[in-house]
Amino acid sequence: MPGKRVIVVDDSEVVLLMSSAALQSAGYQVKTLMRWEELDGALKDFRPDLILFDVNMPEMYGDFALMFFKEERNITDIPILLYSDIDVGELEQRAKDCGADGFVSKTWGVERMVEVVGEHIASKKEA
Amino acid sequence: MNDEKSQRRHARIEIILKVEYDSSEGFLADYAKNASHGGIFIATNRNFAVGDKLSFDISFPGLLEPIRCHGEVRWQRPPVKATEEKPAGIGVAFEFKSDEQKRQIEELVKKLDQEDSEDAGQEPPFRVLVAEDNPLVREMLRFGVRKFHRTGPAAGRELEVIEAENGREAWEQISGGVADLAIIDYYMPVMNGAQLIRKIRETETLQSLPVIVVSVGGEEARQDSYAAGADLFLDKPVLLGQLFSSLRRLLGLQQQAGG
Repeated sequence: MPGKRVIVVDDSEVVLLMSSAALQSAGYQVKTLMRWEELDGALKDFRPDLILFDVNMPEMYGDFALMFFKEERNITDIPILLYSDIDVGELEQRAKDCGADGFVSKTWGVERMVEVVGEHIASKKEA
Repeated sequence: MNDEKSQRRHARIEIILKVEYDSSEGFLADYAKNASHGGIFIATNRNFAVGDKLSFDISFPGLLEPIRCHGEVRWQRPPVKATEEKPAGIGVAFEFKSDEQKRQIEELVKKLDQEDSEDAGQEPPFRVLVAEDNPLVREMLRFGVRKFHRTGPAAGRELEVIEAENGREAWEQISGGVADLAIIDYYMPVMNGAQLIRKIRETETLQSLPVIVVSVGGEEARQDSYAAGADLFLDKPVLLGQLFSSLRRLLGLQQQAGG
């Protein structure tokens, strides 16, 4: 989806490199962040169309951070997906519990991640 | 005494009391709130420093003889940080010069407690200390506390979150003995979490303050925190549900112990 912007927050450099390469190949503009502290600035400057949150992050788990950013930064129009390699069933439940717009298992591979990102951005566009 | 108050080591009573200092400035418009057996909050714009020793008289309508008090300033809210709900002032820990003085304060608090109950007076705020040097993590913890408080055991009371970015700042804010719960990061500059907890446990009015430590420090931080007197230890990253269940467990235990 050319021109659309995606932020990936993950403390693993390898995951960030692989994810951004796959998204960029599909035409997305990508910003990668390794810490929660960088997200406020990126929301303002980069204005993403979708955000991926790793779950096992330092300081605060991704689902805690997701609730925080959605409520405290009033993010209502940008889909935020949990992005993790934990058990898919657990990931789905945690995404549901924290009010995520969806989830992507890292075990599915980056190609599937790009598809899911595209589906969410397309459904947001339709809405 | 109701359930919320019974969580505290010393019930805190909010009432307006006149305060008159031993100074040449004569009668002042300062007033006191939140009296407990351990200390008192005095609303004032005067410039006091933490550690200042004070001698003052407190009185209120219906009390024939003012009560002579001595104490030490334990924390200060300067005018620049004051709001309509939270006036500028100082937290003063009582220093009793005699058993008689202690008895007078205990009687005063008891009397105020009775009047407070009869009058269904306003509940004191539920005060939670969040001590964490990372500003965003501090904000996240405050968010978690607010979410918990909406349905927590003290939901009927106004929530006041006291924030501090290091142990010393935290100590200055709570050493007057007015806090209901503390969430403390282990690794903080100036004074770390364990040092802060030791000071808390050495203070009579804070000995039973529920304390949760959060840290990335693993087993070493856990052991040091418990040795200092922490009630619970949570590893970072923190899960919101885990924070909630820990708060419920801790405050539930407090409620049972107090009631």
